[in-house]
Amino acid sequence: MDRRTFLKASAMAAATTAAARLANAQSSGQPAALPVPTRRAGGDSITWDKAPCRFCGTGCHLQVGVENGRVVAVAGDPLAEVNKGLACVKGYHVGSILYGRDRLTTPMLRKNGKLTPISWDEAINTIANRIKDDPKGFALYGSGQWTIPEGYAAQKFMKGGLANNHIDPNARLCMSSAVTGFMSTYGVDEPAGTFTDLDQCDVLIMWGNNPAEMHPVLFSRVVDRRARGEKITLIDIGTRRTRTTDHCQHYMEFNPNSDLAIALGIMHLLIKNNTYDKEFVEKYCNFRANSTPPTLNGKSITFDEYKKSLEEYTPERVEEISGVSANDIRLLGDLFGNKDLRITSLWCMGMNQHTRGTAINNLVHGVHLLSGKFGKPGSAPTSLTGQPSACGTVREVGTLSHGLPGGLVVNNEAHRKTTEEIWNLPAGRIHPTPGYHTVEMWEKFSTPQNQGGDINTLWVQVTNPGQTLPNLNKLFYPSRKIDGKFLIVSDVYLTATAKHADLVLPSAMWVEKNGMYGNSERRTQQWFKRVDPPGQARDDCWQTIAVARRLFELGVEGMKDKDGNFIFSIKDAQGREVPVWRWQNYYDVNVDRHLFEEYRKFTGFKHKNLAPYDEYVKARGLRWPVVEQKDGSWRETQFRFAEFDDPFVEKGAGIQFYHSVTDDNRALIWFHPWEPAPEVPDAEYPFWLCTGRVLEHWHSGTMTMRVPELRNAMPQAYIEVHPEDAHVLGIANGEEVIVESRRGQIKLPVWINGRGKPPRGSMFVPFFDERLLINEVTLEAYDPWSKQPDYKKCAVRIRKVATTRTTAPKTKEG
Amino acid sequence: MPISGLVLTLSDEPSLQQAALSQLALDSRLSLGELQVNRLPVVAETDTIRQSTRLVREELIMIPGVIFVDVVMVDFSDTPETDESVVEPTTHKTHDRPDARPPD
Amino acid sequence: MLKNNRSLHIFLAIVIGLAAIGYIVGTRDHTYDQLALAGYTQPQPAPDASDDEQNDQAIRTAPSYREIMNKPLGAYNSSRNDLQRLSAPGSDLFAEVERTPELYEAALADRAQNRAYAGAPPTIPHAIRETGAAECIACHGTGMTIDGKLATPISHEYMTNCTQCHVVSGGSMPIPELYAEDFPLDNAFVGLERFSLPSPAYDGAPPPIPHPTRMRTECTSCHGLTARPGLRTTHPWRSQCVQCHAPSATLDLRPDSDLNPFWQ
Repeated sequence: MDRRTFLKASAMAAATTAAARLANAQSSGQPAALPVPTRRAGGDSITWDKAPCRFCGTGCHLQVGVENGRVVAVAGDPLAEVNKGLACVKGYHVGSILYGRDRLTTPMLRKNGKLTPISWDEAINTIANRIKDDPKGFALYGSGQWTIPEGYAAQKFMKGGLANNHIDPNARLCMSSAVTGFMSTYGVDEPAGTFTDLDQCDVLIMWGNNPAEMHPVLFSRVVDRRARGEKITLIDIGTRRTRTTDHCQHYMEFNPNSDLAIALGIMHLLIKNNTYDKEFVEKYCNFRANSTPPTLNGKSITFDEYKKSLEEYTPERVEEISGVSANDIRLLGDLFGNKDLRITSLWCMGMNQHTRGTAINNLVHGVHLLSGKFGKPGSAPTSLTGQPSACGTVREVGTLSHGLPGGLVVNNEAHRKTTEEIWNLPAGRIHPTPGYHTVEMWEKFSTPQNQGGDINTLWVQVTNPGQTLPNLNKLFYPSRKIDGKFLIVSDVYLTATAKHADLVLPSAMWVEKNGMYGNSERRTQQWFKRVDPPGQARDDCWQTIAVARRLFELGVEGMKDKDGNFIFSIKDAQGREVPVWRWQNYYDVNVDRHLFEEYRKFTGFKHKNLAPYDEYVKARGLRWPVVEQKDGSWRETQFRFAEFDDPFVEKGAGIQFYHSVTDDNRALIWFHPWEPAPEVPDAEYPFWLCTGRVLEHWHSGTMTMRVPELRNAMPQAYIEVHPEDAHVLGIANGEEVIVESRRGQIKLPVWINGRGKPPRGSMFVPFFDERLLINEVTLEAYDPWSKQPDYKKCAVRIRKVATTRTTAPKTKEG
Repeated sequence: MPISGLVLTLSDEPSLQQAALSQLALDSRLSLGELQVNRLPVVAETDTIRQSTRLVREELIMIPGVIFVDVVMVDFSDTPETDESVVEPTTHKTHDRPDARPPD
Repeated sequence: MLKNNRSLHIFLAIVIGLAAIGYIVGTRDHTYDQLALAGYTQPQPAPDASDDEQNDQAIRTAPSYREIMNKPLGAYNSSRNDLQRLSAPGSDLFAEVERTPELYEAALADRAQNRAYAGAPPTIPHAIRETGAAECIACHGTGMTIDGKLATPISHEYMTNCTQCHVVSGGSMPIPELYAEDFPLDNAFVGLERFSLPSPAYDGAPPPIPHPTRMRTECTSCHGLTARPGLRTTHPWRSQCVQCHAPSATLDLRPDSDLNPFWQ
């Protein structure tokens, strides 16, 4: 061997060893490895395009920079009216969510207890066969992160194709009380005002809301007005001090569940001081109270009856119930009674995750209607959403167990007929009975078949119920031990849900696919695919269509329309059918555009008119109703029901609630009495437990916990304890404690004087951490109308962990 | 005659990976080792340091399907002293010297 | 007298004994109750409604001495004894500025340490307390160097919700992460490191601005007297930067003509 050959052999040996080490390190424990990044990009070939942020319902538009097929930078979109070029820390780092090295890249089926890679073909066949064998035992659980076309496809597949109404979204856990609140007040869903009110209000009241962390861009829109010298009064009505409180002039801390009493106290004062808006009330309002038996629309009452019901809610009585001083109640009464002030109310989970969710929503709308703080720029009751398309997909496409697109419902014969006509289905295809709502659906899935558990196959798309359902020990884990229950999960990472699944499908996310979202202020947004998904990950919408097609091929009648064509038949410009159910052909046409144009036909029924797809391509979102003008342009609407802006209000009407429950163009002012919470602290479980979110993490943290900047800033869940409670319990900062309710227990580190500051007797735990699942402790009691569970209130006790931790906690695998 | 031991990271996309392998096989300066998942050990032999630099820094990374080039070892022991000691500047704009001072 | 003397002795012995016990108790290491109360701030009282005009920001109450002593000050521990240094004369406007490619690279590398990509909001490399913008502005308003560490002046217009974009890189909690091994952090995102330098129009022409200028209205933040040496301007006495250095419409993502007229 000469010297040269020897050198070459050594070089090859070194390279082979290195290659083996690199290859093994990369693929250990993962189904398939992701490509390693090339190098830091130079920016010469970067291309920018708009996309709404992947996270909350604020709906900021971002400019996403792509180079060499990868997202490399993000900027706030200066043309976006929502965020005006700003983003929050999650938005700025949203690009990183695509690149967690443990992205799911191949379908996996559980074989002998272990998730094993399989082909897409086998995965689609498995689902189709299970549905074909037991179509009634199938349910689809989606989310407010479905894009509009994804939700629409799922909706049509279930209700139009399978004649099965067991489709419900995680938004049921998030904003369904806001929906029932709007429906029972105005007869139609979604806020009348928009974020524009935040620029014009004199007073902003946040009801159990922490926008400084949860909707930071909106909150900045308000507080930065002050920095510019404008005068604005911020009031935080909450159960715990938060970052929002730090910015507020007034903080009114109330006992959990007593927000109803505060709203009633304001109403009491408006009437007693004769400062309510008589003209507004006489022209535009009717009065309502609970009927027996109770219904969502209640019974009509007179103004005098309403007045009498409010008599007992004097400021002193409200102080007694709520703990908020009578003076503060009078302050609120005076603000609402002041004709010159523009007042906007914001709320989110505090009012919605509430066993009296519908009632408190009604009352806050009522306070605004009674005081006439409505229909003028800066005066509006506005609910916020946590998910990017809770409004656009869930509420507008109607992916709830009772809903049909465009605000129609399954239990209305005319609505079913209209839907069948648009979908070209034989008459009578759509089932008239609403399906299971979320809690019911998971209860049935976690109950053996012979005990009435008639949901046997459950397909989860774009959400993480294994972390976010309440009382997991009752609603989620049992199904995993019952024979014949099959859980399918489409997701991007192996989440707390996917870990337990029988079949896992790898999904494309955000700018790896085309999409449309609808934010909290009725703004519909559009974006294009920018980069390829990793490995074999594919769009959720394709997954739905592929399963539908396989069922069509298996001869399932429901997958055919009246003329025998496939229900998702999409034709190209030449009129030829494009086989979009084949992945290689899916992007031959813009499937989003086709589905959206079909969906648009529904949107006029409830005056939620949408513009053609191409208008959204040009805009940074448009707020519905979007109506075509004489010159062919499309005009959006900022203020609904108000003559000066809403094109559907008749001339001279001033304010017109044109979907009024009472058919007389009037909204309803409700009376609901205050009542105690279903579970209150007692001697055995002496503390209130509230759960919620933090700035850095979005919901269950599957995306944000994989982003270094966000993870490093907030690495794990904790329990906030008041220092005096900690003192009494002998607990120090950082010590681990066991938090225990009647339903379960978990171990958490204590953070005293941390991000938020709960009052004595109250504790707070964020739910973003899949290692520390607080929903093993929470209560699944829900609002009777919205079916939304109350994650904000239950009774717990805490105790110190006796020994220090030496081993890892129980593993969730398997 | 510099000898370099390299590890090339190839694309996960099967068609791209195959294309890269075929193109690499055609290059007489390269000896290919056994592919490990998507890492390919390679020995490169060139006449001059300049050629070696260009191969490692520019040519290999330009091949479609090659994602990254790791240098594991280099041997210059057979290289004549007279070889170029200054490496030719690269053409990337980003590496331009940023010290152009504004006129004052 | 003697009897009195004895009772005095007994009395003094008791006093000294109690003092000793008190001293020993007082010097005891952190007990639960002390730790639990460490860092505890009295809730800020809401200002009176009638004071709205005067109080656009909530009032901050002064901490007690006990609080100051007990409070974990994080990054400020090292700097609190250096107040005198803060009043030292500022940098010399006309001092010679050295700019070399090495310093430039070092400055960019330093900047990249707490940014996910060029243009990302930097993370905060020190502990913060959960208070408002005033605390940030104290150092980052005009910028200063503390203990050799640079506190850059904010580069964008004044905004009050600092933590919306800037988060603490070392963790917000005084608690270590407990189960890191159960959820490894492994992300392959590779951010844009920098935008390429545009060439000046001719030799000696003022170089165009090589980065977006959105949210970067205050040039002195990165190029001023307190800036990293490699990025410092050679002519700090001139303050109208864009007079000579042109921003890039492309980098700033300015509107182009095919936009929906609605937005114009």
